[in-house]
Amino acid sequence: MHGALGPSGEILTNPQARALRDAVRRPGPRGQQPRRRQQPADAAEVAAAEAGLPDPTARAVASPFFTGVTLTADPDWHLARRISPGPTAALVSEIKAQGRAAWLSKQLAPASISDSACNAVLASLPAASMTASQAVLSYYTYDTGWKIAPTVVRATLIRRMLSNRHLLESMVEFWHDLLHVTAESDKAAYWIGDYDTFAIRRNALGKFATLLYAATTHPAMLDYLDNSLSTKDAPNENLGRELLELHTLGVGNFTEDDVKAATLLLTGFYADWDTMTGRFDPANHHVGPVTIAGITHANPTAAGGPAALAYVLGRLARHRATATRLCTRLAVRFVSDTPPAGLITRLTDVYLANDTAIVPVLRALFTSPEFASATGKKWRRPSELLVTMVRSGRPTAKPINAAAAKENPYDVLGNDSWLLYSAGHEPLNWPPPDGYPDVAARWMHTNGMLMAWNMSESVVENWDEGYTLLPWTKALGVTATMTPRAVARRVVLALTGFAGDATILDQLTRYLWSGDPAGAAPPSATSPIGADRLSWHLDDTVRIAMSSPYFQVR
Amino acid sequence: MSILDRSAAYTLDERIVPMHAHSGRDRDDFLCALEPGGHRVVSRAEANRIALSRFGIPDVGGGEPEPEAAAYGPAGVPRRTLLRGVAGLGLMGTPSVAPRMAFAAGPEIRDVLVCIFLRGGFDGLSAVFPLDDANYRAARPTIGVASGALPLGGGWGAHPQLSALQPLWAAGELAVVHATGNTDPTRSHFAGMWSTERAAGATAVTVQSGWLGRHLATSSGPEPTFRAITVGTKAVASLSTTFPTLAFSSISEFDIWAWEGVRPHIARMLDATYDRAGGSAGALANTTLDAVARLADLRGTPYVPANGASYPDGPFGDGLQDIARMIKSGKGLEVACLDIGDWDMHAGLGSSGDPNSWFSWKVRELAQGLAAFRTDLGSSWSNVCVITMSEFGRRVGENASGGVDHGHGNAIFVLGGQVAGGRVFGSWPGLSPGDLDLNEGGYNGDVTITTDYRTVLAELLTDRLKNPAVGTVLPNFTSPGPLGIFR
Repeated sequence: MHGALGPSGEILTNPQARALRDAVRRPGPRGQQPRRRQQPADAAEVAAAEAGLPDPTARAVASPFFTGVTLTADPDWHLARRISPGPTAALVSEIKAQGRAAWLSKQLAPASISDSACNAVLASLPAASMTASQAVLSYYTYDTGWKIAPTVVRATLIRRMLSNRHLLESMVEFWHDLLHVTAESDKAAYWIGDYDTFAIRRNALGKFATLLYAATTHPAMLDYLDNSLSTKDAPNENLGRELLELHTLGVGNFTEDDVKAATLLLTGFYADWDTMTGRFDPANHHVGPVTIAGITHANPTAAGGPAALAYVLGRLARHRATATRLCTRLAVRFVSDTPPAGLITRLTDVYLANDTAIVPVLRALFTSPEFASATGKKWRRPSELLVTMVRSGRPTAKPINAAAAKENPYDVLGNDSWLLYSAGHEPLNWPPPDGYPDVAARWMHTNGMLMAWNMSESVVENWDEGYTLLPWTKALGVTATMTPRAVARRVVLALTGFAGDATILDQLTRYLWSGDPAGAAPPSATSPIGADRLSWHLDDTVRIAMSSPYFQVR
Repeated sequence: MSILDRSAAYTLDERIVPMHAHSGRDRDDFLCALEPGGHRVVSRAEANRIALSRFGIPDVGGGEPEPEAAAYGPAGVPRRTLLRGVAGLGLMGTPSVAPRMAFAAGPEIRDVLVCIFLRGGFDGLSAVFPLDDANYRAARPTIGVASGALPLGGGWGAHPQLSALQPLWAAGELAVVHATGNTDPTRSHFAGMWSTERAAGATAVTVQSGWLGRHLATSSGPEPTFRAITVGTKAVASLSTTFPTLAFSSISEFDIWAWEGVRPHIARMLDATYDRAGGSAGALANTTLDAVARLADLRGTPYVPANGASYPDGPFGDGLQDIARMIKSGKGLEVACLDIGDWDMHAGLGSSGDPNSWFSWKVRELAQGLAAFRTDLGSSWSNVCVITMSEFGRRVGENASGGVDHGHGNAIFVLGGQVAGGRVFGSWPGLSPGDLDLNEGGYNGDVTITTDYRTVLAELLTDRLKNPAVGTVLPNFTSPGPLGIFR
C-alpha cells in the first residue's frame, strides 16, 4: 500500500506531476455564458431518439433510495444501465433492435464488435498500450516514464466514453477494482500501461485463474505491494497478505500463518528495472513446503518457484471462498448492494463448474430473475455519472496531438479528468490497494452530490475540449413544435429511461416556458415551445434532468 | 444545563418534517411519522404536542421555558429552510421552521473535536520512543532515532521533525498516550480502520455505525447543518450514522456552478425534485443544498490565517485551514474529521537524520499542520481538542527493507486548550522481546497495548464533549477510568 490516502484522493508526490496537473484547465467558467443556438432536431434525429425510449407499458417499481417516486422498469434500459459505463437512449435502441440475448452475446465476445472510432483516438496515446519496456525505454525515458500513468488514466476514460465494447470496459473496471494497483503512485506509474493492457484487458473476459497469475506476477503488482523487496531471508508480507485478503479468499478465510506461507511462496518474483519486465530470481526464492488455506505444495527447488506459485494460485482461484467472494462482488457490481444469497450460490456453482471462466458467470447473472428485478437498486459512482452525461450528447472526439499528449498527458480530457479527481473517482487512482468501493453508502455524500450536480453543468456546456457534443435538441430529438411538457418528458425519458414524476415535469415545463420554475405555465396544453425558448432554456433543462434523482441510479 | 423552548419542541423531533410548501397552501402543516409505520399530516400545534409527549415533557400550553433534564435530544437533521433563500439561492417558499435546536447555550461549553486519522498504520515508535533504551536501539538499528531526539522528559524522546509541536508540549497543550490502540488482532488495513472507527469491539459486527456518528446521534447541537464535517471527498467511517453528515473537499469550491442569473432556478429545481423523491437521496440533497447556502459567506471571503500561521502545502494543511475557518465562523461545528495518509512504511521508512526521508517529511507535515492550526485559532483554541488515530501501530523491529510491518500498540496525540499535557500517558510495557505482543521471535512483535484506545475516547466524550451516553457511543466497553488527559 502506497500513495497518500489524502482527503481529496491526492496521490501525486512527484512535484513535476503536480505542476503539470495544476497547469491544465480546470472547470470554472462560472460567469455569464453565451447560450448556444439550438437548431431543432430533424426527422431522422427525432426517430433515432424515439427508438431508445422506454416501453410506455413498463411497470413502475420502488427504489431503495427514494420514498416519493417510482422508477420505470424497462428491461432494456436496465440492462444498458448495468452493463455500460455510460448508458444512453442510443445504446438502448441498439438493444431493442437486436434483442437483449443477442446483444448480450455480442458484448460477451467484444472482439466481434467494431471499435474503430475509439481506437482512432487511442492511437494518439500509444504509451497506454505499450509494454513497459517499449514505453519506458523507447517512447519515454527513465526520467519521463511516469507520464505513462496519467496517459493510461485518460485512455481509460476515453474508452468509457467512446468504446462500443461496453461490457468489456465495465469488466476492466471491475478487475482493476479487485486487483487494484494505484496508477499514479510512485511504485506503479511506470508499469500501469503494461498492467492494464497485458494483465487486465487481455484476461478481462477469460478465466480468473489466468488473470490472477498474470496480475500477481506482474511487475506493477510486484512493486506496488513491495514483493520486489521480499526475499527468503527478508520476506515482506505486503503482497502475500493482499493476495489472500483482497485478491482471492477474503477476510476470515485465512490465517496469519497462511499470510506467511504466501509471502514465502512469492519470494523471488520482482520487477526488473533494467529490462522493464517482471522476473524471477531463484536465489531469493524460499524453498520448502508451503500450506495456504489447506492448499499445499512441496516447493522443493528454487528453480521451481514459478511452477509452485502457478499451482497454488490456480488452486486459490478455484477455492470456494474465492469463488464466493468474486461472485458476490460481481453481484454487488451488477445487481444490488445486498445481492440475494441464492444468486451468489448459483453463480459460484457456475464459476466452479466452468473452471473459473467469467463469461458463463456473467451470462448467468444477466439472465437471472434477481437481476431482472433489480431496477434502481444501484447508486451511480461519479465516473458513471460523467460518462453517461457525455455519451448522451453523442460526442465526436477531437483529434489528439500525440506529441503534445506525450509531453503533458494531463491536458487530454483535462477538464473531465479533473472533475473525477475532485469527485474522488478518477480512473485507476484509488489510493489504497482495495480498489474503489461500489456500494451506495460509500458514495452518498454531500461532496459527491454536489459534484454530480456540477458535472452536469460542465457537460451540458461542453467545457472539455476533447470532444464536441451535438446540440441537445439533436441529441435528444427535440423540435420546436413539441409542447414544453412534451419536451420536459422527452428530456427526462431520453436521459434516464425513467418517466419522471409530476413535480419534475411541472418544474421543467414552467422553466422551459417562462425561464422560471415558479413562473407561468404554458397558456394551453397545446402551445408549442418554439425555437427561441429551446435556445434559451433547453440547456438547463437537460442539466436538471442530469442532476435529478433519476439520473443518480445505475 | 440547557433550556428547552416548549413551543418549538417539534423542531427537535426528526420524525416531524414540514410539508414542502412551494405553493404556500400547506405551509403550516407537518408530516408526522407515527408508530408504527404510519404518517399523518398535522398542524404545527398538533406536531408540537406529539413531540412534547414523545420527549416526556408536560404540555402546559404556555411559552414558559423550563429546565430540560435531557440535554441530549435527538440528532439534528437539517430541515428545508428559508435560510437557503437568505443565503443567496432564492426564496424557497416556506416560512422558517428554524432547523436549529432550541437549546440555549448553557454554562457547559463543549470542545470542538478535530479527529485526524493517519491512514496506513502510523509508526508511533518512530514519533515518540524511550530514550536510552537498548532494546529500541537493537530493534531498529538503521531507522531508530539515534541522535537529535527532542527530549520530552520522563525518559521519552520525540522525532526531530516534530519540532513544530515543541511549543505546545512546553505549554502543556499536547499530550501523548503510548502503548495504546485497538486490541482487535487484525493486521488488515481495511478491517483495522473499520474496526477502529466503529469502536464497538471486535466481535460486535452488528454495529455498523461509527463512534462519532453515535456521538452525534446521542447529543444535540445548536445548528444541525455543520455539526460534523469531513474535509475530503467522502465522509469518514467514524461518522457513519443514519443521517448524512457533511463532506467537502474545500470550502471555497463548495458551490453550485451556474450562470449567475439562472443559479437560483437551478437550486429551486434541485430542491423540488429531490424533495419529491425523498428517502436517503432526498435527505442527502437537502443537506447538500443547506450547506451550499450556509457556506456562501465564507466562500465569498478570502481567508488569511491569523497570527502569521503558515500551513504546510497539500491537502492536509489545506484541510486544517478549512476546519479553522469553520470553527472561527461560529457555524456550530462540533466534530471535524480529516485524513492524512501515506503511513504504510513497509520499506524505506528512512533515517531521522535525513529531513527528506519518508517518515521525516510525513511527520513534519503532521507537526507543522497542527502547529499552524493552533496558531491560527488563537483564543478559539481554548475550546478545541484534536486527537490523532490510526488503524494500528507497526512492528517494533525493523524489517530487511528498512521499514516496519503491521503491528498494534501505537501512540495517540491529544492536543487542545484544555489538555493537561506535556507528559506521556499510559503504562509502558517495555520493548524487550519478552514484552512484545504477538512476537514471532526477536523484535518481530508489537508494542503491547496497555491502554485500550477507547479509554481515551471515553475520557474525551465525558470531559470535553460532555456526552453522558458513553455506553452507547462505545458499546461493549467499560473504561477502567480516566487517564487525566484533560485539566
